[in-house]
Amino acid sequence: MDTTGVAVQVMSDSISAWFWIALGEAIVILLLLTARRKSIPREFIGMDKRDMKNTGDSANMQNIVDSIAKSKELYRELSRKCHPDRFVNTNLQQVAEEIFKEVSRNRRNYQKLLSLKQIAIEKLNLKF
Amino acid sequence: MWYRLILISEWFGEMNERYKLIRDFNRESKLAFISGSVPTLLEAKITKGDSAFRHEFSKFLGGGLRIKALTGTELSRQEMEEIGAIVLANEGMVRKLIVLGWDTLEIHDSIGAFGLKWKLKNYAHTGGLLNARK
Repeated sequence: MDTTGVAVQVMSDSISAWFWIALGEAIVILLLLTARRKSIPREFIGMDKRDMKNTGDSANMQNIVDSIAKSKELYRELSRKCHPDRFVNTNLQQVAEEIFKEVSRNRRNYQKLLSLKQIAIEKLNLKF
Repeated sequence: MWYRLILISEWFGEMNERYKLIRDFNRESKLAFISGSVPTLLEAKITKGDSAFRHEFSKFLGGGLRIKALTGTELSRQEMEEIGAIVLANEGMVRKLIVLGWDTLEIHDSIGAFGLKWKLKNYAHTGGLLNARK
């Protein structure tokens, strides 16, 4: 066998070795990807992303920052002024109870508290 | 083919929406700090999150939303809990965060690496819908 023949033989051996190494790596990568896919929980199967994205106006960052800055103060003011005990034995007691419940439920949502303040002004004749 | 193209365009749309959310928070926080209504300047940024909190919409290496105090008064543990509770009380916001690929909410102080983190999935309240479909 001449030198050219030997070179071709060595090259084909090395290509074959690299091919098997690459194939092994591909198999390992596929196994890892499958394991990772299985490890991710699937609670949201069947839910459409677009439905979940449709969150309305409440999911804006201005409301979040306003809630961080001002909601505590507004909640205290509303819970004090709309407390049902202030309307005992009047025809506004029921309304005050409902507003107070809503205020307590939305104590960390500034936008909702503002709308409840408006309702309290209209229905309970309060002045802020 | 068209399905793939739609997926790619959705992916870019979501990335845009993620960064818009961060930009909006940082802008509003800056304005509130300048106007003096908040004593601490807060900054939102994307982190890798906690791998134990992952769900199927989680973005790879981008599942954490960190709200960090930058300057001003230091945050106490109660204040950090309160900020976390405000974000988590807004169910619409939590759902939006989940859909956009976040799985962890982190609140950090300006000093050191001290912070609190929450698993967003626990606050999305999607169980009712899932149970109704089963």
